[in-house]
Amino acid sequence: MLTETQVKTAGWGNTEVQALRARALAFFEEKGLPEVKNELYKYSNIQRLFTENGFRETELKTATDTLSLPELPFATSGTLVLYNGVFQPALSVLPAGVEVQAAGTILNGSLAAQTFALPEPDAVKALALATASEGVALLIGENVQVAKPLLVFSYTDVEDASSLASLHVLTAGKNASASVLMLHAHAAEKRFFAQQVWQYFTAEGAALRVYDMQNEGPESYTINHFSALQAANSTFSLTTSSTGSAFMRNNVRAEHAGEGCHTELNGLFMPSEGQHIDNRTFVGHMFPNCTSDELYKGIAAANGKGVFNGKVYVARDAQKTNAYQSNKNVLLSREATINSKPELEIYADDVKCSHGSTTGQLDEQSIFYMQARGIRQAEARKLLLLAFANDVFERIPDMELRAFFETEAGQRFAALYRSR
Amino acid sequence: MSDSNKIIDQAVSSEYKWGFYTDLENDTAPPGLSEDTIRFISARKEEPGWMLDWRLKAFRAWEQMTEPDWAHVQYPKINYQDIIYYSAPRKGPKYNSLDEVDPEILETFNKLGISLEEQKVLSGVAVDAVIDSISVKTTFREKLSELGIVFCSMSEAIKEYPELVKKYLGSVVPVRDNYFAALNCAVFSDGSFVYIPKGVRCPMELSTYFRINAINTGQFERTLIVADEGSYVSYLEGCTAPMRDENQLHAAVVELVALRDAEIKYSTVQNWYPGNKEGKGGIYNFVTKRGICKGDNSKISWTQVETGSAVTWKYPSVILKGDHSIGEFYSVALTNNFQQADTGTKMIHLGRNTRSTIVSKGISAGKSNNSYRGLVKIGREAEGARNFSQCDSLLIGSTCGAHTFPYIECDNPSAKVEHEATTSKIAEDQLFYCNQRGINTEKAVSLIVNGYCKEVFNQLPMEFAVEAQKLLSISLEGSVG
Repeated sequence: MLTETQVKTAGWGNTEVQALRARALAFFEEKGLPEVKNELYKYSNIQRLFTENGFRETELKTATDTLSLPELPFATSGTLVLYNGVFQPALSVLPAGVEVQAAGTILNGSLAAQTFALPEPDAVKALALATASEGVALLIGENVQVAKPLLVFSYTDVEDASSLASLHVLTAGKNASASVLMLHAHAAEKRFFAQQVWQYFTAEGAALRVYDMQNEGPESYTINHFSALQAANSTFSLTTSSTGSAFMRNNVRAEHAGEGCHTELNGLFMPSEGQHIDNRTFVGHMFPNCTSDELYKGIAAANGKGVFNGKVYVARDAQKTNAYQSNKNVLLSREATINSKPELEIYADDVKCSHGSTTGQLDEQSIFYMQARGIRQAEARKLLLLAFANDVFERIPDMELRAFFETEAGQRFAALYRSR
Repeated sequence: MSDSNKIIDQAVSSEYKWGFYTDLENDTAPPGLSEDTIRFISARKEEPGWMLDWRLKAFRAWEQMTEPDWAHVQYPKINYQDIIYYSAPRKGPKYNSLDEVDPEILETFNKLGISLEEQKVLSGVAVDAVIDSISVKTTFREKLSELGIVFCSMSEAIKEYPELVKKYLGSVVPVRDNYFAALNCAVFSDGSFVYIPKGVRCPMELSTYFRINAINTGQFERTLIVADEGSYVSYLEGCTAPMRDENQLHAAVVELVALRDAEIKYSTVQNWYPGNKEGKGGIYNFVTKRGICKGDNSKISWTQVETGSAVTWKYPSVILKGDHSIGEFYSVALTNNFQQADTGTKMIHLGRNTRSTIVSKGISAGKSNNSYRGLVKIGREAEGARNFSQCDSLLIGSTCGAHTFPYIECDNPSAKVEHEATTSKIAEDQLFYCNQRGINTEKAVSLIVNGYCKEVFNQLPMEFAVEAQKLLSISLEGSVG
């Protein structure tokens, strides 16, 4: 394990990475921030986000000794603490078989090329890659089975209107199996624009499950870039529960580099007063005999704006692909908006691909049914929303984690009907 | 697999059956586009001054616009100065009977299977035939005029019904709507104009056959259909174009206006030259079709069968402005060889309790690419709006592509929007089931594809449904019986 100073001095000392970062910067300078005419950011006005808030780079604090960690109702296998994107060894405890290094130390050759690739002309990701501070490389060893979730806790403590970015890598070794729970918190009343790049590599036969609880306060403006490259027979799953932040964008990309892969993407997003939550997913079926399953459910309240844009891409040779994508949304108020754009792009013929998208409202008959049985209307609505959200949480195999996510969502729903 | 490979090979090798060329003397404008070209067209068509002004305004707007590139299609850049913008069959006196019509033109129609006499006597379909931009013969006009229905070419309408044309032309697709629509506004040659008066139910299906005939002629029709309060009309548009090596540009605009309680049903069978099996030649079909349900309880229904064109870029849309209005879109799009189609619809819900249905069936074969691109937008005031969309894609062969790009934008909490899409190939077990009962693979594919498209064919008028099935068979020859 590295000490904190080592992580700092290793800050992108890697010349290969430096060249790639320079390339990303050149790309960003050429393209500039995307306009709303850009299909990737059609429903999220990034230019306005910057002009209205005046985010700028500031001097970041890189260490803390007064951070209190979140208390969880269940045991974890370990904790990794990031403070303004910087690894805090003193606060972190890692399980056996899991190692931390500076990201730059492992980003060489194809790993570096993959991490810094821009398969789509996404200038926002280019900006994140170019400006990201060097984060951690979490290495899960071969055949290591981490039974309990590993907590990754990110704390943001910056001046008002700061912009920050960090890049992290996670590799799951051959036949390893692990789950990661990501939690976030930040200092009060300081607005910030944070970009986190997470690059996942799953080796042959590995199974990696990532859970991101996105419930930060309204000071947070966040863009996440989650990208996974899966070797043969590996499983990658990502579950996001987005209830916080003034602005949240998840750029999710999973690509197969071998046969027999499985990808699962689950998301619940609940934009309420003044919130904008945008999910963009891409599943790249590049090899035969792979499967993918996507479920995104949106609940828009008050003047919240929700976006789902998912693309399933099936390459010419990716025969016997099974890909499913489902997006279901509920609008709770007049001012709420949901935009959905599920896409299929298919070049192989022996495939089964489907997507579905619905937008509607809570069923008045169900509410009446419950009212007739003495359940108050607000309670009935809350129950229906929980049932709606549970479709996503039911996909979490770990019962304790599932309960944790359900409780969090339940609190949100309760708050929703209290504030009315 | 070897069987289906054979079928694909055969399908790919089928040639365009309508590829003949009628030798007509043409009255053509020199190639190129400038204000002079527009003045030439307008003068040749003996148009009033307001029409010329409108065209010039559109031309100036077009000059400032750029060609869109967002569609999922690729084609070499079009040189707009190489295109002939006006071509009309030699101008003679208007005919009083069919005998006076140029026998070569009649022969052309006979090859297409729309003999005017036959149509007249048997099917009761009034045909407004357009050969290269000029309306040659309009039948059944007297009968229609008894009911007060106006069915004539756009040029005539501009002269005879200027008030109606002025009121509605460009009201659904404005001049600056998009690049190709602006181009059409500037140079449109001819097209059909239909006006159905209040409370009249049009007793027959109105139909136009378009033909792209002379070499290098862009065809720019302009169609306007206005259904006044409580009226009904069903309009058929069929297109075949002869074989030609150069790519030809086709940028039509169709506008539909349905007032209160009116209903318009618009059916298209499009079988333009798709290019040969190396992907050479073929029509570029960049069409803007849009209808507006202006009044309450009105209805517009689009049905299209698209088997032709090298590149298609077409989104028949409905603006649902009146309360309780209904929009429908039924489509079969088949692509083969190197054809590319980016087609779909837009349903824009503005009024209360508006409903829309979208059923799109895509079939890709050979090395073609077939995309569905649709927008369902529910406006803030569209209380109780309802949409159902279904997009299915069928892939035949492993070198083609099928894509779905739906956009769903919902701003009203009482609206219900559903979209579903599937992509698959013809199931082996379905083929096996047919084979087992003595149906050979070729016929089985035909059966399955026809069944797959039935939902859309059922929406077509009977004569058209038969033709649509025939076209599907020709386009997929070898694999469909």
